[in-house]
Amino acid sequence: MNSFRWQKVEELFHAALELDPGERETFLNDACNGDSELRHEVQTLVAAVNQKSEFMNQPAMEMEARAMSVEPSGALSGRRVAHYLIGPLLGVGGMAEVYRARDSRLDRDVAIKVLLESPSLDAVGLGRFKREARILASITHPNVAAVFGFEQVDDMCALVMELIEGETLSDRIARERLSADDAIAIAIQIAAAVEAAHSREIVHRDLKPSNIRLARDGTVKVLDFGIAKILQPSGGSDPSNRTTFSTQAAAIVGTVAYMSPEQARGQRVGHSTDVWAWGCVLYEMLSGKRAFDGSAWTDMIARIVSEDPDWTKLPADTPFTVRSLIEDCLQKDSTRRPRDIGEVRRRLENVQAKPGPPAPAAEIALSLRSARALFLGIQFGCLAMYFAALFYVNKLELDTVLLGGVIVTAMLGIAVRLFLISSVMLAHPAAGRKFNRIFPLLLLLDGAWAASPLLAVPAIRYGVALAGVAALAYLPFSQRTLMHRIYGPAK
Amino acid sequence: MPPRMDDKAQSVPQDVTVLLQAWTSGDKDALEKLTPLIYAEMRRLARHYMARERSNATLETGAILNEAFLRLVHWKNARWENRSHFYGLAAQMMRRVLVDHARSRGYGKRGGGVRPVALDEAVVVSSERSSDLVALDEALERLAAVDERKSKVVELRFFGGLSVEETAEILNVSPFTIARDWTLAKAWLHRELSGQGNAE
Repeated sequence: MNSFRWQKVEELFHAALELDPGERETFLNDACNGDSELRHEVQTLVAAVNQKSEFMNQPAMEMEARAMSVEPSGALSGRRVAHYLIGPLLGVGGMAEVYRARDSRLDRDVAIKVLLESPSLDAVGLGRFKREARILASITHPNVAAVFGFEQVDDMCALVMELIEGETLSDRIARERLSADDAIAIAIQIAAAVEAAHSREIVHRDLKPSNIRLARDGTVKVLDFGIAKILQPSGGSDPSNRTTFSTQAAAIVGTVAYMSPEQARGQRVGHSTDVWAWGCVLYEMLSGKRAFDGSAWTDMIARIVSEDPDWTKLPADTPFTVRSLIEDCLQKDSTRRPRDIGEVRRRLENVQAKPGPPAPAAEIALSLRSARALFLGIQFGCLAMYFAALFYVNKLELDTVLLGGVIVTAMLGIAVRLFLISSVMLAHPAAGRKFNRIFPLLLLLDGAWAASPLLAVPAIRYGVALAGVAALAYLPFSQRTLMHRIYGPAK
Repeated sequence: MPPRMDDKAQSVPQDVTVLLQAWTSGDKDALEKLTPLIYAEMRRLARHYMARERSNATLETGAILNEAFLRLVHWKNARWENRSHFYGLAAQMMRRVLVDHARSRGYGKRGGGVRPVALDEAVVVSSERSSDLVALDEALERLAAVDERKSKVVELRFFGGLSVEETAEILNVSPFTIARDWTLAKAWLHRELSGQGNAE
């Protein structure tokens, strides 16, 4: 193309861009004056502008920065470190490279995790790293990937760990939807691993599907306990040395999607942080979707801090107890989560032993919070009706027996409602069981109450009264469904 | 942007300095040796910042790296004729570093080596992205044949990370012209890369 023609293309291109999309066609037809090649050239260029606004919007370096950071150096393969012969690179993450290695003394294969840009290896940093490694090595549990020791490779720290062959949980979730039984069995083993670590006051901090491996024999192995802590800048000794940057970094070590609200806020983490992450993992196993997802990390953090996961994504056959367990684990306020991962594990083991009925289809979209609100609403409604009955009963011309019946029903009803309201509001753990016990009484009371429209038959038509009876008779059953939604099914 | 480098970012490896001097005095081989060294240094820094900010800081890390790169090539006794000469060469080198590496990454994959698995699902190493970069580089060569200045604008803006105003200063035209050049160049490249281009 000669430069004159190119100038023409350029001129028409900019002129066309300034017009409304609808006017461009006519403009180009006129301007090109039958030169179809020119017209095509300009038109395709204009179309390319509109197509993809993302294209080249960031400088190359910004696009490449992340890919660069996880590119393996692979530099250690073939080297000998202490009595380990380092083999091929197995994987790479933002913080570490993992190699397969041969332990020539014990004649076994191990995994060596080299922490890139790990803590500064001055005396303080190295001492801290050794201390942490020693604590990690002290966890011996079948569901925890064992730490055998640590080495220093050049200026980097390396942990020698049990080599586990098998896919990660994130691979498995990506491959297929897990059945509720499989998900529960895996979640129990994860909880057991976390429990073992918590008993030594080790918080995982970065529990997520990619840190969980499913060994070929079916054992679940949790990796990388406390690594997130090792990777935190130390700097505890001299607070003035800590820049905002590193304080922030301390908080935001860990994949954003599984981060608890307290981690996202940069607050102290504790056992309940792992309980949160465990809840996220179980949710993801059951639904195949992350509990808190978003295209940008800021979206994820916003959801973590202020939104509930989409409970409708959980499959319909998820047992009630499992749902409410996940809901408990994903409480934003860490003090409202189960305090002890062992308790979580036991609750789940109960489900495994005695699988409850699946949620009725109509109930699926109902969150714990709305079930509770509905239940309380019904109770307050009934309470109001009973009081109204006591007030207005003398206005109806009833014989003494019927009058006595209404009064006794109302008094009893008030007592029962007050009991139910207080136990649900105070979240009494045994309320579900108690409800099952008083359900016959409730049935009787609400049944009697349901008959009440018949008392007003002369005033209202018979059919209307019967419709009222049917509607009221449905009440005790809907309350039972709600109660099960809140406290799990009858055992 | 405020300098948030620590000591690691500021120390320029000795051989980089020597090679840069050799390159500016006309030694073509020096560039061959220089790009892998610069890339390794960039990668080290990328890791350094990524490990700290995790999956959330792509943009910022990119900006930090850009600045680190400029520091890296901007050694003290530089013989840059002037500012624009320096930025021009820096953008050119950045292009060279990224594209060369993307190309070698692509060949490495075809070579059949086992690709390590990413340990972290937050992390995506996109091999398509590298082939994109190679294709873009080739398209940019073709654009240079049509319109030299527009390819320069892309080099400075996209590879050099410069703003419209900075690019305008270096190329000595108005920012308005640069903005127009940039729009047309992007459209041209996009059309070229999506395979709708006219054979010319």
